[in-house]
Amino acid sequence: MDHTPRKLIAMILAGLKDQVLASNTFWFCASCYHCTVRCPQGINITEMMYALKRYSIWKSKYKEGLIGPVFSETFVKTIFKSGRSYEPVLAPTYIFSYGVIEFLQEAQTATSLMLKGRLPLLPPRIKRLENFRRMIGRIIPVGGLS
Amino acid sequence: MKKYAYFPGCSLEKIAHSYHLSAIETTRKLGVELKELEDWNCCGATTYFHVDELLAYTLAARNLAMAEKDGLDLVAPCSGCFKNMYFAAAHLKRDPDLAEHINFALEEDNLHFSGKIAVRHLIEIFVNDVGLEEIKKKVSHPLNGLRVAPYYGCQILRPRKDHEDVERPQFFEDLMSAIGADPVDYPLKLHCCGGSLIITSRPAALSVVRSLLQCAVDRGAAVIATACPLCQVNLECYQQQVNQEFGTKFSLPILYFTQLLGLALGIPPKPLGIGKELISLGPILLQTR
Repeated sequence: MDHTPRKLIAMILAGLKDQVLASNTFWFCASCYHCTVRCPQGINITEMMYALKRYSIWKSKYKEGLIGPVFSETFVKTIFKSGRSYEPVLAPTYIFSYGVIEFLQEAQTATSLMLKGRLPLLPPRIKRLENFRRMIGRIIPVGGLS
Repeated sequence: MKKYAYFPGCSLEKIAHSYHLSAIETTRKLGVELKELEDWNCCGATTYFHVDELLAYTLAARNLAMAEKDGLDLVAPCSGCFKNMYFAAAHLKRDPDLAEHINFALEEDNLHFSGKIAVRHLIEIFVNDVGLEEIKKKVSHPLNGLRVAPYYGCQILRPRKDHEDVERPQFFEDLMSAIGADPVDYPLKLHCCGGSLIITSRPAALSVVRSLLQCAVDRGAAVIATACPLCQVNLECYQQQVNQEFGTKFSLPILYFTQLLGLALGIPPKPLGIGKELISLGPILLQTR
């Protein structure tokens, strides 16, 4: 995390748009809302971090090497395809950025989960998928994300 | 009999299937009926909000509309799903323009949401609707002396919904006491498990998980009870990676609160999904039988 939230807000107020977008701070927000419920000024900091994530994806301007944006976009595309999430499709968005040790550790965890029957083999799919896709099409033009 | 529309959510289909199994078993035992939404879709998780907010609310609204069609309040066992659908419902009730826009999209699936139903987390159903006194009466195998660390995590409590206590909640401890267990007080019970950072910022998330585990162990916890699949996965499935990364030797079982409740209600371990965990329960199971 390159800037604290306080500094990031000050940068926004100072109009340092490019520096704000070049920051990785908001991709370290796990949406725990601890700051939001405690801010004495009632500022919804978590929503601000969400807004920055959306803005940087929308502008395709995010810091090199971040997993967050690619992971999020892949997740959304998976939902477009099937209506439900499917973990194995998401793995390639991050696994290749790992070092050898992390890669092996992740593979070990996945294997243990597989042996316990906790990983899906086939992607799930909702029944009224065509309606679902047309529903999405009324919100954003489909193709906009794919 | 109390009846609710039940939204399991994507995690409960596989990685957290034991939460699903134990939710069904325990509610049945306590006279609550969960009717699974017939064709539910992903709630939007956190990632959808990273991409498009309106679309994220639309996804949640489709589930809300299906529950409303059944005339039932919606229950979610996952804290993330609960938070998303709770606030989607709240925003749609408050903002007629948003509701109109989203209802226009829902027409494609012959659905409409007018804001008549409530969204609840599964743990509330036990604590508030069934009630702790009723649960105490049904406990046949009290978990006497079992030191359980109740882990609230984030999204059951936060963001604040009304005037509820988000700093010193007690309902999870009370539920654990009701089943005879000994709730462990530990300072990180409201802290974040790292959420999806376990994937997108792994080192940061592993260090959060390590602190949580250390804190619970230091206070003498024999098991952590969770009410969220992501918390369970981060604390349990990544425990070995924490050990490898930090040279620690944690071997702390992480169970869903419904699994502990089920054991106390005399339900055998297997139907509660016990046996699917990566960290063996060891002596805990003996202690509870």
